[in-house]
Formats: sequence, structure tokens, C-alpha cells
Amino acid sequence: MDRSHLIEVNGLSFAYNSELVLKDVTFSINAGDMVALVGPNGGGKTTLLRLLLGLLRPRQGTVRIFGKPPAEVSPRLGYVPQRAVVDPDFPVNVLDVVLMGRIERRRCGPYGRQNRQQALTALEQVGLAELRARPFSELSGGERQRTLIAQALCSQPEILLLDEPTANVDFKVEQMIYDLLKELNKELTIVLVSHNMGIVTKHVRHVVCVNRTTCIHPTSALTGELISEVYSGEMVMVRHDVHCPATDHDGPHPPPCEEHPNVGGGW
Amino acid sequence: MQFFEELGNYTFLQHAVLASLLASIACGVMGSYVVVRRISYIAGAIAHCVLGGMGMARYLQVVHGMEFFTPLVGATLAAIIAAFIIGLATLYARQRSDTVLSVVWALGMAIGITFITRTPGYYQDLMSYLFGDILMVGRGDLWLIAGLDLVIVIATLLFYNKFLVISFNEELARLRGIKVGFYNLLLLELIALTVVLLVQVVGLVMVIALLALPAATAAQVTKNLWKMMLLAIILSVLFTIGGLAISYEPELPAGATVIELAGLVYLVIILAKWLWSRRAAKES
Repeated sequence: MDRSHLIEVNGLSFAYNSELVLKDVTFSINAGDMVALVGPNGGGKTTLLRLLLGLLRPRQGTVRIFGKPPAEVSPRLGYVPQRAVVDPDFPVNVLDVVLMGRIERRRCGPYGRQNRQQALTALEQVGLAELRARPFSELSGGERQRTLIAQALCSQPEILLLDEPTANVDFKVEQMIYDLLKELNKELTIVLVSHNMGIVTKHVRHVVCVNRTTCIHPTSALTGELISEVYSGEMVMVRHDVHCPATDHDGPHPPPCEEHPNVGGGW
Repeated sequence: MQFFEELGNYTFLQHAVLASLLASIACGVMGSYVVVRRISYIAGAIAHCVLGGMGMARYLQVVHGMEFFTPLVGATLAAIIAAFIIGLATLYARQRSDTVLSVVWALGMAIGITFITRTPGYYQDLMSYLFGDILMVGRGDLWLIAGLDLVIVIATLLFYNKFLVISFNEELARLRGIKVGFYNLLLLELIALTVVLLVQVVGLVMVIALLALPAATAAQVTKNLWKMMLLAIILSVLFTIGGLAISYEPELPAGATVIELAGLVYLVIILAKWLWSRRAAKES
């Protein structure tokens, strides 16, 4: 194994019932990269993220993170769930939520001072230290999202995986969250799920297009009429006509991907 | 008030007060989990299933002379089994869990009714199980209630953070290596034990109300789980002792009075909060 490949997915297939949601998926993600899993709804993005986290087991093929199955390295992964899965009325304050990132199997009773310090550091990273005593239910959507990111950071992960971090937030908050992720990307590898390809490609280095199977692309600047029809304004485009090999995205570009159905990023 | 004047004279009143105090501790703590996790229907199924255990125990006691098998012991066993079945069903067959709840609910009651009708003097037994008979709590019952309380309080002190995480975000707990299934089941069992305590106070039909109302009322004023628990304990004490005192002189049913008092306070708080927010909105 090449050490620089933090995440390696090989021949992965998955089905909830009889129909395959993901089929023969192979790609890898390098240390320090910032990657978006994009694709249409129902294309398997969230399923793929959950497979990377070890919350689901593949039917076929393997997922290796740090060269091991995800379940063995889960303490080194930080997971930010979709905000919608969390009950906004749950009676906890911001610090309580962040401290949950420090939960351990063996420890019973209260969190110690060291963990509280860790939680405060994580809150400072996302710029919410002043709101630490605020009830979770009284936060805005963006603050809630940043609290959940702090929760993941609190466990000092090496990879941060986020499910739709900018769903249902306004443009300003979205910008703020991507700025935050870019800052965190200096130290962490980041994998995020997004259904909004037009926006996410401005902020990440590679996209993995997920629609039952996957293709990985670098994001490089490109303008085109088709794109400006779909998204108004200045855009960063994905080169769907150009393919990276599954394991090395920065090398010379191989010939176009013929199977790929979606040239131009019109999702 | 006649209730407080006679409290010093009658041990059955002292037992009733003590039982209310002890049950309130479990009620406030576990009721808060029931409210924040929105699982009062699970508590309802366990409560009704308990009739099976009580009926069987009473039958064995009266007909076969097994004195140690008190209805409270039977209720405890039934609740533990019911919580285990419901726990497994919700863990492994999520989409069909409502069916399992209904089956546990109805089957428990059916078994209870069958045994009770085979027991002499069944009508009064049945009424006291359904609607509570706190004035009949004996010394042995008090010890068992205290023991169950101790289990609930110690488990909550030890596992507060784990229960918090599995209630807030189960997947996070799984990723951090917490045995989510085990702790979910443990929490359900503790709720089941609480149901058993509360059946002594208000009877099994009204248990859900007593479990949920103090915590739901507390949730209106605090946004912090452990504060919610403490406040719910205090409210539960006020409701149970208050209901007992009010019902004593005019000989009203104690359990029903407790629930009426709790329901009234809850509605008043909701209404006051609503009026308050309207006034605040007008002023701003």
C-alpha cells in the first residue's frame, strides 16, 4: 500500500435489499486532500460516506482507512452528521454537545477537566467559544452546524467526514462553513457529501461523482455555455471529460471517461 | 388539612407519602429520558403488560399459597421481560416495532385478566392494579421500591453521559465504540422498573401521564437534561403528595387526583408561556 493513500476503496458493492446502491466502486483519497462526494439524490453519496465510516458493511470489496477496516480506526475519524438527524429541541447546551465527541467506552461518570479543555479548544476553532453555555435549541442553523463540527473536532480526528454540511443554510453561512473547512484542511483530510455540485467544486480539490458507481475528477477552472445556463455567475467547473486514474489524481490526465453519463455537472 | 393532621397517626398514610417520595425520584429521572427520546408509547406498552405479571402473582399467592409472590414482584418480572422484548424488537426490526408494542401491550393485559378472573376477590384487585391503591402500600413494598430506586439512581450517575450520547446521536456513539444496543436496552429496563414503581402510585392506566407530565413541565422551563431531571423530581413530589392530600378528605381516588393535578399544572404552564411569548412579540 502506498502510504499517502489515506482512504482506499476497492471493488466496493453495497445493497440495502436486493438492488445494488453502489456497484464496483474503486477510488482512493490522499492524505491532506479535500474531497466532495457529489451526485444526484439517491445516487448513493450518503451510503458511501457511511461505508467509509464503518457504519455499514460492504457486500463486496473493501474499504481501508490507514490500511485497516474503518471499524478499527473509527476513533481517528470525525463524523459530522446531517443536521436534520439531530433533534433541535434536545435539552443540552453547546458545550454538552461538543463534549459528546469525547465519549469513551471505558469511562463512566463525568468528563474530566482535560476533556472540557479539549471541547473549549474545538469551540474556539469553529468560533463559538462565547456561545458555550447557550442551549442547543436556541442556535441558528449555521451555529448548530458549527457546533456539530466542533463535536467531531473534539475527538481530535485525522479525517473529517461531513454529510451535507451546508444543507438548508443561507449563502453567507455556507461561505463561512467552507472557509472554516479550508482552514481545518491545513491539518486534516476532509471528505464531504454535497448534492450541490456547482458550489462545492469552488471549495474542494477533488470530487468523487457518485451515481451507483464513481468517477473521481480534479476540480479545475472551466467556463462553458452549458454551465452558465445551469448555474448563473462565476463558476468553477469539473472536468468531466478528463479522468484521473483511481489512485493518482495529480498525474497526467488519461483519456475521457466514456461511461460517465453526466458531462457538464448539471446535477 | 385533614391529611396532614392525620399523617402522624396512621402508618398507611406515612407509607403512602414515603412511596410517593421514592417513586418521584425514579419518575423525574427516567421520565426525562422518556420525554426527550419521545418514547412514552413504549412506557405505555410496558405499563399495560405489567398487568400480566401482577395477575399471575396474585393468582399464585391466593390459590397456591406462594406468599412471597406479591403483585409487585410479578409486576417487576413482567416489566423486565416486556422491556427486553420491546428493546430487541426496536433494535432489530425498526419498521415493525409498533406492532410488537401493541402485541406486548395487549397480550400482557390478556394474561393478567385471565389469571385475575381465576382468583377469588378479583374485582377489587383488578381495580387497584388499573387505577392504583397507594394507601395499601406495605412495608415490604417500600423496601422493594427503595431498592429499585437505588438501582435507577446509581445507573444514571454512572452512565449519564452514555445515555446522553445515544439519545442525541446514536451513530456518534457507535463510532466512538459505545455498545449502543446494550445501553439502549439498559435504559429501557430502567424505564420499566420506574413504570413498576409508578403503578403502585397511580395504577397502570395512568402511568404514562405521571411519567411524562413532570418531565414535560420541567422541559418548558429548563434546557438542560440534568436540571430537567431535578425539576421533574420536585414536581413529581408536589403532584403525588399534593394529589394524596387533596383526595384524602373528600375520599376521591388518589391516583386520579394526582394525574389531574399534574395535567392542570402542565396546561397552565403551557398557557402562561404562550401568553408570555405573545406579549413579548407585541412589545418588540
